[in-house]
Amino acid sequence: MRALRQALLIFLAALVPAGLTAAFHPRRPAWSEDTLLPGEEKLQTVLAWGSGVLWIDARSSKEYEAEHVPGAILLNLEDWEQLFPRFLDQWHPEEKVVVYCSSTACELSHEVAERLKANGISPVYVLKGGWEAWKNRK
Amino acid sequence: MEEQKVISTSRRTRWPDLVRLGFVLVRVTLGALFVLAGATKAYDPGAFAIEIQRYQLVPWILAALISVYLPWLEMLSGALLLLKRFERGALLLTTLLLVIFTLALASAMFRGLSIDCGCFGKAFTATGTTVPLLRNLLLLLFTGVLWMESR
Amino acid sequence: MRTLLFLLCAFTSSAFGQLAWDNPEQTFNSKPQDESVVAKYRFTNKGNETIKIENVATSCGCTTTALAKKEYAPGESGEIEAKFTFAGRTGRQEKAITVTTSPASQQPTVLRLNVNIEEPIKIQPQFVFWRVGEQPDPKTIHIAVADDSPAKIASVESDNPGVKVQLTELKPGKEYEVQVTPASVSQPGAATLLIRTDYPHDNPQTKYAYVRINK
Repeated sequence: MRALRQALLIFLAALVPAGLTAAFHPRRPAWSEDTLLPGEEKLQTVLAWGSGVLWIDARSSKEYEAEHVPGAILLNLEDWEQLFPRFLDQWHPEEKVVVYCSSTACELSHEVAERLKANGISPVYVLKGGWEAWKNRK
Repeated sequence: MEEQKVISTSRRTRWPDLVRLGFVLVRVTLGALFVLAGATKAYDPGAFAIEIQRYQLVPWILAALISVYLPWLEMLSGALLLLKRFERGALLLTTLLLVIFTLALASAMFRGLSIDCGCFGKAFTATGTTVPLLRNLLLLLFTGVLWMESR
Repeated sequence: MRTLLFLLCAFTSSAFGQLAWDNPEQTFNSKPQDESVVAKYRFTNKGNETIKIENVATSCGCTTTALAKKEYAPGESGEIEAKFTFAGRTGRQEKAITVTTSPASQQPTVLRLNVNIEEPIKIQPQFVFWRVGEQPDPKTIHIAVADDSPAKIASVESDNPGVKVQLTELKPGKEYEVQVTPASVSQPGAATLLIRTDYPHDNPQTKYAYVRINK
C-alpha cells in the first residue's frame, strides 16, 4: 500500500534528527536507568539492605496517621522541634536512615534529609519515588 | 474505459467547495498542531522523557529513546500532511500517533495516576488528563475526516 | 495555494497565544515572626486567542495557589496568588510554581518564589553524640543571634548531670559557643540542653539542643 511505504520512509527519515538529538542535544535525557540525584536510592536497593534501615516519613502527621511504611518514624519540618528528639531516641549510628515523602516530585524528603545531615546524622538517603514507590512495589 | 483518468478527476471534483474548504482547514490544523507539539518536545527531550516516565508504561531506557525520536516523527508527519507526495503516509502516522497517545492517556486516567505530586492536595489542581484526552479524541475525528477525503 | 498559506498563518499564530508575566520571579526577606509569605504573579493575555490555565502545580504542599478563574480573553489580565507557609523552614528557600496553559500547553511557565527566612537564633549543630567507648572529647555547639534580633542568650543548662555544658560569649550578644563534655561514655545516655534566651522579656524563649551517647 502506498500509504504504508510513505509512512515507512517518514519513519526512517525521522531517525536522522533523532540520532543527532540523542548525541548532541544539550537537554537530552540521561541514558542510564533513572540517574539518581545525590543522596537518593531506589526502593529496590533499600529493600535489599534488609533490617538495618530506619524509615523516616517527612509528610504531614495526617498523612502519616493514614498510612506509612511499617516501622517508619514521623519527622517533618513543621513539628521538627517536638519530633526530632523522638527520632534521636530511636536512631542508632549504624542504621541507614531513609527519608520519604509522597512521590518523586515532592521536596520535603530532601529538606528533612539535609537537616538531618546538618546535625551529624549519617548515612541519610532519600527514597526515590517516595510513598508512591512503596505503594506500587511488586 | 478511461478508468484511471475518470477516477482521479472524479475523486477531486466530487466534493462541494465548502466541504473542500473544510478538508483544507482540518488538514492544516492537524498538520500545524503536530509540528508545534513535536517542536516543543524536541526543544527539551530530557523533560519529555520524564513526562513519559510518569505514565509508568515503559522502562526508562525506552522513555529516553522515545523522547529523542518521537518529536521528530511528529514534526515530519505533521509537515508532510501538507505535501501531496507524502500525505497518505503522513496521515497514517498521525492517526497511529494519536491512537497511541490517547491510549496512554486513557490508561493513566483509569489507573488514577496522579501525574502531579500527591503532596499538594490543597493547591489549585486542574483537569490533568481529561482535557488532553478530549482534545485527542477531537483530533482523531479530524484524521477520520481526512481518511474520508482520501477515499 | 494562497488560501492554504493564509490558513497556515492563521492557525500557527493563534497557537502561539501567550501570557506575559509582570514579575515571574519574586524574592522576599522575611522576619522571624512571619509564618508565611504571599506573592502575586500578574499576567496579561498578549495573544489573539483565549487562553485557559490548565494547571498550576507547586513543588511541595507548603506552597498553595489561588486563581480567580481559568480562562482569559485576549488583552485580559489576571493574577495567581501563591502562599508559601514556612512551617519550620529557615534560611534561603526557593520554590517553583509551574503553570501550564492551553494552547502552548507543552511550554509551561515556571514562576519562582524565593524567600530568605531569617533565623533569629541559629544553633549549629542541634545535636551532638558520642559512641560508647570513644574518647569523651568535648564537642562544640555554635549559637548565632541574627543582627536585628534583640534576644541574648542568658544561659545554657543540661538536664543530665552526667553531661556538662559551658557557655562562652564570642561576640557580645551575637555569637556564642557551648562546650559539651560528657562525664563518662561507658554507658548509653541522653541529655537535653536548654538554651535560655532573654526575649521576649515577659516570656523568654527557650531553644533546645540534644546529646546522645550511643552504643
